[in-house]
Amino acid sequence: MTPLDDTSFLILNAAHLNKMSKPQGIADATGLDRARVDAVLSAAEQGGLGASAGDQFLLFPDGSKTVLDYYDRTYADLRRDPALEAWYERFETLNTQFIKHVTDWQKMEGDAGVESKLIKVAERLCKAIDSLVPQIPRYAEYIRRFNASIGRVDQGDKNFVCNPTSDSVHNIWFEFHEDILSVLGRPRDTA
Amino acid sequence: MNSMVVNTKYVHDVREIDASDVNSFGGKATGLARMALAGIPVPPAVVIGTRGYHSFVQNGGTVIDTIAREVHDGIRHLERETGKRFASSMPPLLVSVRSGAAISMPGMMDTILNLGLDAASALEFAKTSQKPDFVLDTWVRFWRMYSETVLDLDADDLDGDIETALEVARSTPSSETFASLEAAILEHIQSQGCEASADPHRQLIEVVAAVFRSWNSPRAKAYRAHHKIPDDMGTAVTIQAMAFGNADAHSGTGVAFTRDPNTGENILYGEYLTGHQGEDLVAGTHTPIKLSDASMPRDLVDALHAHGRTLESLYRDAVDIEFTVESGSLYFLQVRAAKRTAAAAIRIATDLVQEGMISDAEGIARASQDQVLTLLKPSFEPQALKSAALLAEGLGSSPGQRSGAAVLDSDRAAEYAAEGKDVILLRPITSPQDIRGMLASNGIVTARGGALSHAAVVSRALNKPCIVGCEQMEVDVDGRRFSVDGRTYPEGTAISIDGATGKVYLGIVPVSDAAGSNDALSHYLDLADKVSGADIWTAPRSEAELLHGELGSGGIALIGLTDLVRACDLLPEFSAAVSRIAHNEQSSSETVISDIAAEASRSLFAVAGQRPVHIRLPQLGSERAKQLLPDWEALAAAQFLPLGNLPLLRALLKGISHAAATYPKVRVTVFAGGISTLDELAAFQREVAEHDELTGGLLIQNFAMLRAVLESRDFDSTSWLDVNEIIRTVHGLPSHLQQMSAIFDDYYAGNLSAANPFSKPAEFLTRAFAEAGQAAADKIGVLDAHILCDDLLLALYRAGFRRFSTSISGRNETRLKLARKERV
Repeated sequence: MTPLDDTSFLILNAAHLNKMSKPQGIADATGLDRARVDAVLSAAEQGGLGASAGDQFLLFPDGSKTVLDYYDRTYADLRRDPALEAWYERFETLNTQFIKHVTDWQKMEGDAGVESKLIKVAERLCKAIDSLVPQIPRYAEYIRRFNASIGRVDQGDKNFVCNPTSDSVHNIWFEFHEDILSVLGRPRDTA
Repeated sequence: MNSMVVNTKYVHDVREIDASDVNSFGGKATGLARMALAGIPVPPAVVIGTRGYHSFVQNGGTVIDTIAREVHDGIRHLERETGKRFASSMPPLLVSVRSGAAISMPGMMDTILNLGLDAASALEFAKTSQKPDFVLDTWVRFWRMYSETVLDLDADDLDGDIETALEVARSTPSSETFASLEAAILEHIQSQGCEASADPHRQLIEVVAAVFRSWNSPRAKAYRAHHKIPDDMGTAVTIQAMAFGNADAHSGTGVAFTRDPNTGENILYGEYLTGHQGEDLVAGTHTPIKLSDASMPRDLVDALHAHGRTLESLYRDAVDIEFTVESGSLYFLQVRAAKRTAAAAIRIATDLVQEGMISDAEGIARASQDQVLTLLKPSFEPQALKSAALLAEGLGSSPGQRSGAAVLDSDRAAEYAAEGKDVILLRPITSPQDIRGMLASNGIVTARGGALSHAAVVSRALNKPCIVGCEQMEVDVDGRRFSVDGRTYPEGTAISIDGATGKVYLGIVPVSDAAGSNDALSHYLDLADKVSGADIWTAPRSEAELLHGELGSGGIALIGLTDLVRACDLLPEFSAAVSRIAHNEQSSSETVISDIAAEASRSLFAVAGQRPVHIRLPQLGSERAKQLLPDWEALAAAQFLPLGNLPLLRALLKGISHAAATYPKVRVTVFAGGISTLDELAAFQREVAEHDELTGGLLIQNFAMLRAVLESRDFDSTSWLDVNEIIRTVHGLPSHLQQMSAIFDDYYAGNLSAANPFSKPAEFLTRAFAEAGQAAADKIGVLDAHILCDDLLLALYRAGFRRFSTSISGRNETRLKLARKERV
């Protein structure tokens, strides 16, 4: 398989992280224009990496493997950086807090106090991600997505807290978690 | 009560403000004022009105001296009220500071607690209270909150930098060790590029400034822009004395619910911990006693009871209360509408209506739709569950009882589900890639992961049962099998899961509707009917539903005769006879059809009681006939028209009327699909009129018929409006997609969502529906309300329709939706 170029990676990575993704959703998540997304997806389909199913694009296991190869190639040096390890340790603490707050939010029917706590943790993650942007520039997109979804939550759209079918704060977090694990080359352990 | 200084401009005792002036004092202070007025013991508090905010803005973001002076006067006022001293000991006055706008909004500064200690006063307090750990925790907790909310730092960093100094202060409390701790805190803050003072007076002013600044945080601004709240409204600040439950043996802390939050029963519920603070109660480090315990101080229980009643009438709802007793004085720290389980929500709602505290419609609103739907979820049949084989057990993390084939891969789960199979997704662990499979499954089991996991969050958001951490299970994804205790099962093995208990059973455990056995839920749903005024008809569609289904009090509609025939296991004979008639082969087939129609009808009439029964006649032109009759393509096409095969129609009518004759209490109306003119309707009704036992009704399935009805002056037939079929034909959508609502949902998702005609039909059609609702809702009912989009259902209800038909399984949800619409 030909190694992915950076743009193709961004697009196929979005399809890899979110199996429900539609071309427009991928364009929104990556900040790339729709024509490029369509071109990359159609090349991927011809290359046997995935297929359109209805209006969704489904990445095949081979497609996911190509995406993971890109991670291995691109982040090999970064994986040896103890600072990133330390960063991840701190992320795990935030992750535990975040899941706890979302769980409480669900069990307490969207309690406003809990909602403000979970948003606060998401904002802290944004700050933490910001410190990684020099090494991983594409992470700026996560911050943009978090802020957009936090804005929707603030406006009272509860779907943007943890609904799995919208670009909810929890969904972005879940995808980011998978992403950073792939950068580190670690398997998902728990949570 | 000591009065506050008279001539203050900015700072006021909450008991002296106008409790209705939310704009000047914010929701928190006016809430406290209302409670104080009602005689509820709240800790003394002062409020800086929004006038203080405006001064802050006009003076370039500074707290002017006049305000600072009034704040300090306010603190002295609190000192007099409490007999404590701020920034001192014997005993120290600690305060909480909260923002308070007329409307609470995101991005505003949260609470700061425990403000009022410095190294010297903390040490004094530690010595006199003989609780150095408690004092240190209280003090450090203040600094954590101060760093996070005022300075916007990460409090975890603070913990790391002061760990050693804190340990030393803990083990040897002295003025040196406390001073070192304070120095370490301030140094840490400086190292982060910020400034802070050790003086609580200055800290207090900084916190006030931070509250004012937070009014203009980006999130708060965005919120106001979206909700069109004026930016110059401003926020108030409430400063309240804190009470300590660990002061002495006559102190303590607790929580009280005016009604049992689990069952909703009208009894005082909660717990109390003597000699401790609220944190100890939350942390579970000490065992509290129940408020119902005989050892509870009687006067405390009586006071909680009396104040609880007052608060219920103030809130017009059950409330939960955090309270503290400090040296014998009871204080209510926080009161809010009580958190409650779904079961309690229903019970409390119906009780409050019965007690006359709230209206019927308010009662319906007191339980969320999700809560009621949780209770309406089907559950395992108790008898079947007893004999079910337990396979494994994990942590139940999203309730619900469902079954399906265990599938180990998300893409395969989606494929199985697309074929209409029931699936339980079984994964070693879930990643975001699994959401597709989770959506397609009835439930989710993961071998690893704790109660706090992404899988559990997603499952709850999807309202699907989920079990995590099912560690006895070895999931071999590549080998497409899983094993438990050395026994191996292939993918596809049927399992049943209980997402509440965490139990996984081997095989399919049958489920049944839960509503019938729950009294409070039945009352609630009856209340829903009262609020909506809707008349819900329903139709059993299988043998099980005929025998066990809850038919409700409405009529039976619209039940397909073919469904009844199938429920009686006579479908092959029936299809064969229909086929022969359609080919014009044997006249004896008419007798066979009559006999089968009679037997099928009797099965329904036997359970109908006195309910009116509406039967839909089978038709050769239907999609269903196409599927059931093997040689359908070869039939003469003229028969596909509504009255295209009169011998068949007459045979069916004869059979049904024959059965009806033996059930004289049952009133039977029959319907034929596809009729599009009044003359055609008249012809059909003439055929029906041959039988005294039957009446001919009208099933409106196309726009022509709807218009004809609207334009007719003397239209008087009992009718059902097949809304989705009219939309489909008007919009020219293919008929074989008719039942596949998922396809439409997908197609109209995202950018096309505004274009979904099943949610928002063409304008002229919407007008026609509305006209029909206004002019003829007494004659026309809405068919299959349970499959309609919520928006459309609401529009039809508003147009005036009150008679709705549903499936048995969709009946309660429709009752609920219609009642909640009324409230809007």
